[in-house]
Amino acid sequence: MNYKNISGAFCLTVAALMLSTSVEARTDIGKHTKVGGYFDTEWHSTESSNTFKAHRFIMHLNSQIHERISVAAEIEYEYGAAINALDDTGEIKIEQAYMDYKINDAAIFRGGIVLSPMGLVNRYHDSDMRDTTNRPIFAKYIIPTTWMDTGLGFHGEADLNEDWALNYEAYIINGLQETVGTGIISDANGIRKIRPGFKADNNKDSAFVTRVGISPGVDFEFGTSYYTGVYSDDGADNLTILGFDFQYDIGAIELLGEYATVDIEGAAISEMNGYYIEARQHFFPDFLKNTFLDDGFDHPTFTAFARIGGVDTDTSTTTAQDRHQYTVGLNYRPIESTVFKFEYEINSERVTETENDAIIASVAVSF
Amino acid sequence: MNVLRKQKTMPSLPQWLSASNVCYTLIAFLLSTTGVSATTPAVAETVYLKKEAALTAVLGEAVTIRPIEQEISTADAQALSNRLGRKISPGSHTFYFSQSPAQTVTSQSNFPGFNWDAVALIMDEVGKYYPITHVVAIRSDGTVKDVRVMVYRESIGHQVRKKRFLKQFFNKTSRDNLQVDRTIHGITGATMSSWSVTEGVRRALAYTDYFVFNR
Repeated sequence: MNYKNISGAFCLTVAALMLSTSVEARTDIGKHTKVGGYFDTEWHSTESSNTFKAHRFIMHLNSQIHERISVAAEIEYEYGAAINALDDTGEIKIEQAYMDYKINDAAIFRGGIVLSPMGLVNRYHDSDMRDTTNRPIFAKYIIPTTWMDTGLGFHGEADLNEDWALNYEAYIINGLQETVGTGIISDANGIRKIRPGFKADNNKDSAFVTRVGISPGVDFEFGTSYYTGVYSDDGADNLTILGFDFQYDIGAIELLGEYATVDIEGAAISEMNGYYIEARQHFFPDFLKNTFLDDGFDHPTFTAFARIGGVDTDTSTTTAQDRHQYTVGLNYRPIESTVFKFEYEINSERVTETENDAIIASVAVSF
Repeated sequence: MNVLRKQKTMPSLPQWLSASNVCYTLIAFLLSTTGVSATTPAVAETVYLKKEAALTAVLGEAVTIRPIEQEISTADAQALSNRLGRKISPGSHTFYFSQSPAQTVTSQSNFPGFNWDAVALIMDEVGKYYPITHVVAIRSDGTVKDVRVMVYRESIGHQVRKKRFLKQFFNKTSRDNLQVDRTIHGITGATMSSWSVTEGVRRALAYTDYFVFNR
């Protein structure tokens, strides 16, 4: 790789962009736009391998160009963005790119590449927000995180009274796409491989996705998510997902979980489902105060966590993918946006036990 | 004897005139002619309450509001830093005392030197990127009367302005442990904004205890 050529090209590009704008626009650069992001680096140890993973580097762009209009984008570089002929293990993709036009708090138009508002993990998928390194296995095969699509719709929130609040998202999108020769529905991958591209729908039917959350107080929220759309090239077969999620805070303890069931027409697999439940305890021992773990940080925190989850990627039979997964671990946040994580993951397959339990560690930082 | 044929070469530019150096110089020039600076740029903000409206909202309408600016010396800042467990810088802070028309409450403090019902402090605490401006009103018995968000500058997390979040601070005192994910329920996806308001309330209570109640 000729780094001189790359830095020279980057330099020319930046200069060209700056020259191409008017004097008035140049003085506005940076006025409304924030640039940030997050990254994580992981270490995985299993029976068969020990490896570091430069998993994610994400750029966030947000521009509040008017009090009622904003633009947001999330660009992900995975595994070093290696997408060349010698190494194509990486990935570069836009996970979100949309504009918001606010009518009022209860009605905000959104259009572009939007996150499918299914459940919790897909909506809050940032590595630094998550207390564990690995997402629940549910989020790999059932609600295939990160799941985004092109479309438009509305989102908003409303106070029902002083305590109760409701929030919602609802979009018309292209929808999940199963195209022969590319991704298909399978018990090995659930519906992960039929996440759509962004250029064209594979059929004439658009899909609909929504989530409604109801919260009787800041300590509890219950959500219901629903997706329906034709997924096949010939436009004949529909796929529907119904999901439920909850979050409940009891002092320093958080409980959260999700469940979703997928119904599929016209496929060898007609139904799959999955779930997880997670508990977190936040604490900071007194004996660690006045140590380097505490020094200079306003509110450092340890979080102990435990999670149980499971997937059944074909409810009509027991397959090699059907399993429960148990995760226990601990993380340390010197500040909220920086987290060091350590966990032990046990996979319990229903058919044949595989030596794939793992010790996992990672660091994630948002900036 | 090998005769090496000299290959014709183009005359080379001086090294200082390389493409990269030209580019860097050009970018530096362009930056210097714009309003871009190394400091945090201004950003579109949402103003929910201006100062006068915020003070009236938390102190009441039929009251006289008397602002008094209190100096924070180096010694004061150090004492407050020790009390709060975070760095407080010397400077000053304005206390907005309210007096009702039929003033019946006798304050138990030497500062400000007159009877008062409640005191409000306007706080700025950084969320994820930008400060959240909010007002904290404290009664003469040292309990939190009200909290309102005045200006919000982040792109997410504005739910901290809702009463369902803010009322968690009502009737709290400086002796209460105010911590997000312990005693204060944060907003999902906006933990830093939740901490921002929490720290503002903690600081307002600490300032009032220290300067007004001398405790």
